[in-house]
Amino acid sequence: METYLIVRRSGWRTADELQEAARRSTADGERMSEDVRWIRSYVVAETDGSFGLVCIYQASSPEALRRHAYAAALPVDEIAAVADTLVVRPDPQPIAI
Amino acid sequence: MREGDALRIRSDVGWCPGYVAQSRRDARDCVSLLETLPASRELGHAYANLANLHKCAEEREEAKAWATRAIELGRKLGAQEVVLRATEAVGVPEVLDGAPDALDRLEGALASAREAGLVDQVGRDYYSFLGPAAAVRNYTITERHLASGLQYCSDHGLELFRLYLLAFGARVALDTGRWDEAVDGAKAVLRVPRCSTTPRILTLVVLALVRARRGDPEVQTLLDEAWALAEPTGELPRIGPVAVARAEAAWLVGRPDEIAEATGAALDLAVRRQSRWRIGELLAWRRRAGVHDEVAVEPRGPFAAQIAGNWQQAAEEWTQIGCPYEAALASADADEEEPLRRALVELQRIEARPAAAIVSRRLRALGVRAVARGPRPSTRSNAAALTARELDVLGLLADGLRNAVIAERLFLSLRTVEHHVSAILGKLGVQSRSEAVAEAGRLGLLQDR
Repeated sequence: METYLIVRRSGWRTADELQEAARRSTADGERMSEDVRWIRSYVVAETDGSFGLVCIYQASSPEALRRHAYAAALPVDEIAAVADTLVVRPDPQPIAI
Repeated sequence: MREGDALRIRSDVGWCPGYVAQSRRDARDCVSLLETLPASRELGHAYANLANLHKCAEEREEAKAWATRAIELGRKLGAQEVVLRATEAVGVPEVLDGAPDALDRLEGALASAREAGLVDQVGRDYYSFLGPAAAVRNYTITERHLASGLQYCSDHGLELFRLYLLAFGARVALDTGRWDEAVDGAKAVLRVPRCSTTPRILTLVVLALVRARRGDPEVQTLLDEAWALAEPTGELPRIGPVAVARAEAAWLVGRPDEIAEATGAALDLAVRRQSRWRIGELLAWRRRAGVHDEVAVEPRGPFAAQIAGNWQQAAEEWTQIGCPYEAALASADADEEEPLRRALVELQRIEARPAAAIVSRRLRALGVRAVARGPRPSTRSNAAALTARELDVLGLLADGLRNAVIAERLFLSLRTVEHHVSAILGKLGVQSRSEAVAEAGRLGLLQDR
């Protein structure tokens, strides 16, 4: 498994929609856990008031991520391969949006 | 006699994994040896083998010369297998040159081989004419024979030819805009641990191009491996597609200056071999990088119009052939706003992000201010999270069509349609097709049609 960063811009109008997407992603991720592992996501507050996501995944290939996005109906704007990880501080505590 | 025949077999087996020089030496030694003995079937096979080695390098004249000898001898001795192998060697370059009846002759040879139960030759025939048919984008032929060829190879344990056909199928899927299927086909080949080099080269290229066109990472490693396998063979059918893919990948990441170098050696080779389709493809990419070459051989296919600067005709030809991405790229060669806008919309529709970004930049450079962001992938637009393809299938379900007819309409395999239908039922939470249509109507999923 390699590590990837996925950018999903302006995908959701409301926090509820985002929660629903997270549920679909988890459900599909469990189904294909051999190929795709969702590590964490940062919710992006877009300038138009909608929400986007920047996600970290581990996956067997970019195609596995595309397939997961397709199955869970998640948008994909960009997939980049993560060459290395530098952890300086732990992630901030999640807050409800 | 036995020694000669053994040399021929070693030559035949050694070619595919890439031992081209040794294979050619064996083939010539075999002919010299057997020519010292009375005329024999073995000599006929030796001629046909040598003809095929030249065919594989697109050396037209040599292939024809040796095949002619094989056919003469084969007929004299009543050796049908020799005649059919030699027919293959003559026909393939003709297909690549666009000779209208060449495919008919190869189809005829295939039918004769099937009738005579020459299992190995049937596999060879499928492989040797579906590859060129895919290369010159003859989808009538690939539609007619790919599935049955795969079935035949599976049934008769022709694993090598099956891998070739899978690779050609992946290429056809890529070129006709079915990228997910292209990935599936390519990965099926790449998963085989001891895959011969040629199918591997072809599928590395397919996977690399899908990634490059989507803007996904891990393109270069695939192309580097493909080039490392192809380059030492010195053979155009292996080198050409990799060179073209490297050119496209460079263009998509904004490095058109690398195109001339990536394609230079392949173009020289293609001109030496008089390979008109491949010359056209290479010249079209070089033109995009601002390199204008003078070559003595006239290119074939929609590339010819592209090279002549006639983007409109090229786009029409590509659309007619059934290559949406190439059609959009041809329109993207225009310098006017309207065709560039159309190219942009189409590239956004097929989610060709890097090419769409290039066209957006060109539009802005022309002073076009509002370059609309195209419709987002439709996966989010419906409550049941049906994919675009599933919505297509759903629409045809609503028209009351059977799976087989849907498969035909959407150019999908029956299995793929069945897969989509069960996904639709699952996502809509229903048990039957009629319930699915009713539920879709309730959710408003059928409105946009």
